Amino acid sequence: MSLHGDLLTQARHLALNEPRRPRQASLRRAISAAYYSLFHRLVSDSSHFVFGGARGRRNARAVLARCFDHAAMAACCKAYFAGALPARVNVFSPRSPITADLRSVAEAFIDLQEQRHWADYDTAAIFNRADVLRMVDKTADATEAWDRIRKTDDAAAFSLCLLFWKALKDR
Amino acid sequence: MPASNYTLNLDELRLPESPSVESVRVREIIDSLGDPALWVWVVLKEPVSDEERSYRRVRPIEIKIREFLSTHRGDNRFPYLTFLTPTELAQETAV
Repeated sequence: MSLHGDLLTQARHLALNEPRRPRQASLRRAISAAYYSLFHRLVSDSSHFVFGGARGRRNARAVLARCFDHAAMAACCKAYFAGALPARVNVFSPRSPITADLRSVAEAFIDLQEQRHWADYDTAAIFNRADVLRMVDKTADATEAWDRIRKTDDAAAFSLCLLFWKALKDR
Repeated sequence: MPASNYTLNLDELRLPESPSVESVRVREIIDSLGDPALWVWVVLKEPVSDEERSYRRVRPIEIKIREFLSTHRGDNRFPYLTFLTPTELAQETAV
């Protein structure tokens, strides 16, 4: 299975593994795994979009994948979720309004990144299993939405925006 | 500056009947990106089953609250939602 698929499976396993009282550490790692599942899926597909899927371009894709910035990706997703794209981005992605599938991917990414931040850094936060499973299912839902649109022009534009958001946002 | 807290009016929200929502509490926050945002606690009435707390069941509530905040309140800050029971809220508050 793919890394992003394995991470999603791991997230669910961590959330369900302790039947009575799940450890907070398990729930926190479940959130983190869910976030990275969606993160790696988007980064992988965006890197394939730029360099194609040939085996000989694997190193190029790997180097490009390291260029994605978490905060910039979330800022990009906020603009997509709000439907407030800079004029130059609208040239890349002329469809208006933004499709429900793309909006749900953006929404999930924002949600997951913030939850991951709380899970990894806020030691006072308490997570409950049902809400963690909700986030895992949200990740699966967003992944399915991405599967439906990943070969469209809108998804290609979104991929470029995830990578170049800092350069594009003020233009 | 202290964070501002308020509760949404359930009559205005018109949420689905099930799972039943006891209250919706909102806190103004700055998120990890440094942006003004909202943290929303959706408190579900007990007893509530795992199935009623599933993503499929609470997603319509999530959509309604996000839509209400942006459309009816004109608030474009991103709302982060968490669903919990009164018991879990009490544990969280105790911490």
